[in-house]
Amino acid sequence: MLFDEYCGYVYAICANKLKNCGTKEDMEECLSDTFAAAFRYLDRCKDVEGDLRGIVGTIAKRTAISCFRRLSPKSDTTVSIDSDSFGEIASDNSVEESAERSLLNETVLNIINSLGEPDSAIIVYFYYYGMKTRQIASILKMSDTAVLKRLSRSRKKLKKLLSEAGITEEGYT
Amino acid sequence: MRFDDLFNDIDNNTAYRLSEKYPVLKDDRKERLYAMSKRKYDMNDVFGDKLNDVSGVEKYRRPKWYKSASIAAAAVLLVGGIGGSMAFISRNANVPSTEVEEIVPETTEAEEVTEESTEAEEVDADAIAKELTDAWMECLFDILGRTLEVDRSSIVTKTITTSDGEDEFTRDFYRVTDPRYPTWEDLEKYCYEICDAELGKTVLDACACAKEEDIDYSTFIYTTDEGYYVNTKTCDIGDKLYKWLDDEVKGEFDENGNIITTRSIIDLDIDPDHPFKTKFTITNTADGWRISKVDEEFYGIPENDNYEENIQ
Repeated sequence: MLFDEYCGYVYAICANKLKNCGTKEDMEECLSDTFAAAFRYLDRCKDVEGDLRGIVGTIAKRTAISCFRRLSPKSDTTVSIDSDSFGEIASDNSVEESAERSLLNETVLNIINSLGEPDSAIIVYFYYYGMKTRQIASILKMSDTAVLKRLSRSRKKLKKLLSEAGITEEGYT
Repeated sequence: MRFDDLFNDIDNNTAYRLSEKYPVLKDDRKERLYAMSKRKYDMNDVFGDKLNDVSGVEKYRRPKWYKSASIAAAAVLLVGGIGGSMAFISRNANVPSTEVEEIVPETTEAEEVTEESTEAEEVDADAIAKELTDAWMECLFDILGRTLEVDRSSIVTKTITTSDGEDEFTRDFYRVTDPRYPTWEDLEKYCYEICDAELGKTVLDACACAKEEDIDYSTFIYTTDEGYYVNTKTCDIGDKLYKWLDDEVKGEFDENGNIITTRSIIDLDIDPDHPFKTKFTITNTADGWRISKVDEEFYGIPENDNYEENIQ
């Protein structure tokens, strides 16, 4: 079933886009809007076969961007050309930059995975999903303080590993 | 590129890997989200393209609605707890002093009176802690509007303008017919019977209650000269209550003579299987024992490093 197969995937896209401006409810709204749109799309295009991940992901991303703009109109409508995010916006239109970004994402996630559990999970939930430490503590069945301490240590370790991989705040090589 | 930027703007493959290795949606939440998605799809199926405009309006205002609901819920929780504590105090806190007064005329030595008074406090600490924290929880949900007795036979609909003045929406209310609190002021009074003046004011200031003429998007309870009304949605989730896990409550005196107690709670909004602790400080005020401080212990502070508190 489409929803069961991709709900986690769509939620990851929505949460990642809205983590800095939306609530958990906003993310859920975004997810449900995505699937409502996906259901309608499949109604119209009955010949679609095979893996729908790309289509669903694209709908999710567009829906999340729409939600993001609505939730943070000021920050989204005025972007300095000196800002880091300026490049990210432009990257949507550049195949080369998009591929480069994907490679960076993959590398970063591989490095995070190398931290081992539960540190990798704490980093993922905190930075990718934008979850609060209390929520992470609940999922991982740990105390909030333990999550905070591990988060602090894992971040230091991650920065070191990223730096060794040529990924620094000045850029990546 | 800042460190945090590494985790933004992920591509689809990364999102898929995250969802596979680090899932966050549990089955019950999936079911709810599926129902929400299906409802939106069905609505569009019925109303066609017209819904696109309508859903846009909804999406804009909903976050505000939920945010204010969260604030209201937090406020209600705080007030509720306070209210319960106050009720207990009002009923029980004067007992020890009454006993002492009765003893004084019959006792010739002041030392004996002091000893009996101290013993009475020690004996009552556990009971005071339990009664006040139990009452806190009860009052919390009353103030939240989840456990108030209402008249469901009639619904009052209010039109509310968003804070930017660009949109209007409606919200439905039930009239409160709870015999425990005939007026909103009775509920406020109950709150002050559980909390001390400062905490009580904090709780009530944060409460999502307003006068009828001041209703806005953050209002979930409003008052009139004839009575008060609670939002129907708030009221209809009354089964989703928090519960103390521990029946045996231990109250201990600190160096200032306050009673300190810690209780565990199930937060159904976070995780129905994971208990969180709440620490109460109960102070002997001029009006009797009152809860003066409430701390959720699971909010820790990192001991080292350059932790950024609100990265998300």
